[in-house]
Amino acid sequence: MSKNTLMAAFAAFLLGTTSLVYAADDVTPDKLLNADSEAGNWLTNHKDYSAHRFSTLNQINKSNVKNLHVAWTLQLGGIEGGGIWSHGGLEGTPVVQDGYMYVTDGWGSVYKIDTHGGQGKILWRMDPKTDHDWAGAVACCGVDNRGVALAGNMVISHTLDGRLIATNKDTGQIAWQRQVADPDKGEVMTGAPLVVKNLAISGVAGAEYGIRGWIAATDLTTHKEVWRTHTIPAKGEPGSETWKDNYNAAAMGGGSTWVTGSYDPRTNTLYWGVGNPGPDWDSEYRPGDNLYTDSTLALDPDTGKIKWHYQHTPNDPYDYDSVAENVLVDAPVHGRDAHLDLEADRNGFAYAVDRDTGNFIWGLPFVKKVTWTKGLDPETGKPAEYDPKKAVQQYAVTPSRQNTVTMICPGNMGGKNWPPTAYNPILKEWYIPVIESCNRVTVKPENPNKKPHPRDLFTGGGPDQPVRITGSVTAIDVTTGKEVGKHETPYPMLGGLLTTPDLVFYGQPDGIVAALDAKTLDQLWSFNTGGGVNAPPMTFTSDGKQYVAILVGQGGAWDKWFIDATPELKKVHPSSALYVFSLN
Amino acid sequence: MRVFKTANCMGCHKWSGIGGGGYGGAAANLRKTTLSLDQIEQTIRCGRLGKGMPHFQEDAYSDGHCYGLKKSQLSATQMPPEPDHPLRPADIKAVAHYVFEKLKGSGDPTFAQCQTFFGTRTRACDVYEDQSSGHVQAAAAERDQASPRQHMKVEAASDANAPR
Repeated sequence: MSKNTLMAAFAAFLLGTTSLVYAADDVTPDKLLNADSEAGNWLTNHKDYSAHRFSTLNQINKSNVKNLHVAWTLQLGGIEGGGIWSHGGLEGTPVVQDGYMYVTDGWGSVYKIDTHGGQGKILWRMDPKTDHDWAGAVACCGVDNRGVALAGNMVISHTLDGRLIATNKDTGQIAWQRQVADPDKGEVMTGAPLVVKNLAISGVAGAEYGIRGWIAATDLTTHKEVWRTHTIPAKGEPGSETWKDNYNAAAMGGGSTWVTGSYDPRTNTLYWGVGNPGPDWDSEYRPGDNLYTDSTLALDPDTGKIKWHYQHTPNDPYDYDSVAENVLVDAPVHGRDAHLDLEADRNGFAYAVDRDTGNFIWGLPFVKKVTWTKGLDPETGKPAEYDPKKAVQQYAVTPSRQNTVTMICPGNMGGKNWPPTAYNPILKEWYIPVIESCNRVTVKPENPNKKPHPRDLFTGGGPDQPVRITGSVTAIDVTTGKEVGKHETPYPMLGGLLTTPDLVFYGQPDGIVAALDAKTLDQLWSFNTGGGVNAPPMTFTSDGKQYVAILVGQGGAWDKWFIDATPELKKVHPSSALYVFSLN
Repeated sequence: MRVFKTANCMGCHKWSGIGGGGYGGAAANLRKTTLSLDQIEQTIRCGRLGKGMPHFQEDAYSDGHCYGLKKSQLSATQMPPEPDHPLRPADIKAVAHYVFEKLKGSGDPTFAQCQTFFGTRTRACDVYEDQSSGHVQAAAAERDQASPRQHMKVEAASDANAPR
């Protein structure tokens, strides 16, 4: 411990802030490291640092799930619109500790709910008074917030207008807050923070508004920023040579980080996905591979230094973000033990790389239709057409200034968007919530001599939806990298997955929540919530009894920009509710 | 202005009516429109064929009063989109008047126009004015007094990956 941290600890002790002096129900760094061993709790966004979203709870199982029914519901708030958005939505994963649940609504209000006694009671609501007009106008893709983190006796959350807020878990009062992102520049925050050691780690959204992305770490004791790693290198930094223009396209190069990362304590490595380059569809504007867009980054959580990167779609002309969560799995691949980092990319391919080195291990398409490339190079995992000598890549189908109107599969929403996958370590199967899609992209070149105003869209074109979009839950055997099942759904998967020893749960945007047999993917149970499901299911125990919870309230960009591909969903209206299911 | 907000015209045309390209498709610049009041009203009622502009009259294509066309004569790609919420005739007239009188021919959006639209309790308009000018600062002061959220600045650490 350095002199400074010793002083800080002593000061914290004197001030009575409990950041380093823990009470019995405080969420300590140790508790978070062992989150997967607390079967009845769900202590962090992805359930555990490995992002498995796997629960060992098995009171609800294959033999009785048909009897699952609504235990209780709650109506939440945050449905009001702002900026260009007519309403907010719910995309969060509830976090539960000892029967107390913490959820957020789209505008960043945090609710603490007591789930004891077989019912839900709101104990407090922390309303951060997010500026609807200012923040709503630069939220690319809806008024969303994906949940909280727990640290000590605080609930840590983000707001759309760029704040990191620590709320006292007992009182619901804001203990402190700091501005991390700047919506004046088009930066907003929608992801749940990740707490590692004594740091809250934040990602940013805004690659459609010409931001230069970053990941930032805030010390929970001093409330100061410890490091900030830009996902687009500055001039002279490694990777800056992959921006080959002469008008500083990198300064507005995108690279958002709006999905919560994962962490491997064995090597002290943080894994985080990076989004698309900007402008989205005008790749000629930004010749070069555009690092670290569309990449997975491995970082040192103490310093923010990048250890390695793996890029999926160099010089991306499709809006194929790699923001997806990275799922950390130890499993044999073709008989050899491997430390895998799994990522299901918007480009339609699932990747396993060695998470200690970043070396490609296997990759395969998880969507039914891929047209943008012929496939992946079996050695490197790069798209088959990728030519490192070319400044502007030409894949099998490439939206470009010469070819301004193209159909791409997957569509720009991706084969999978932010909704999280789930990994079942018993079956060694990885389940992907799939958007089976194509859409049409029209390129409108951006002019480097006429850069947009701050907070103006900077996309180089736009998509539209001439064909129907459906979905699936697709299962992959991680030991072989082969697809082993596909449960097709009439609507795209916009909410993400949960797996238990023998079940997989999901929700659909038409309101259906369902459970599948984890081995066969046969549907065993479903219930219609009557709203649009846009959030992942989770499970917990309260008073020793297992429950499944899911937020219901269609948000995001689907109903504004993608609805023509799913016309029936026009009948789904905004809502803001929590559904909790149990047996008897 | 009330209808312009509630019908989510600003979702595509932006608060100022300048429209423009982007993720949601390219919306017309209402400040540069050459349409007459009647033509604007018709466009709101009937939408635009083969474009993203919805028809805000619910039964626009029931009897041929829109462009002489009925729903059965239109292909799926020609049919203007359904609106999120149809508007009553009086609201269509009101928003057409707003576009014609307040937006058409009004040049570049100004800070004052933005404040008229959003009010002063938001930073939504700061980008339209020089930050150092008096009335921006006055607006900021008023906002900070009114808002429970104190004016906060990003205090960022330097880039962790910059060469030392």
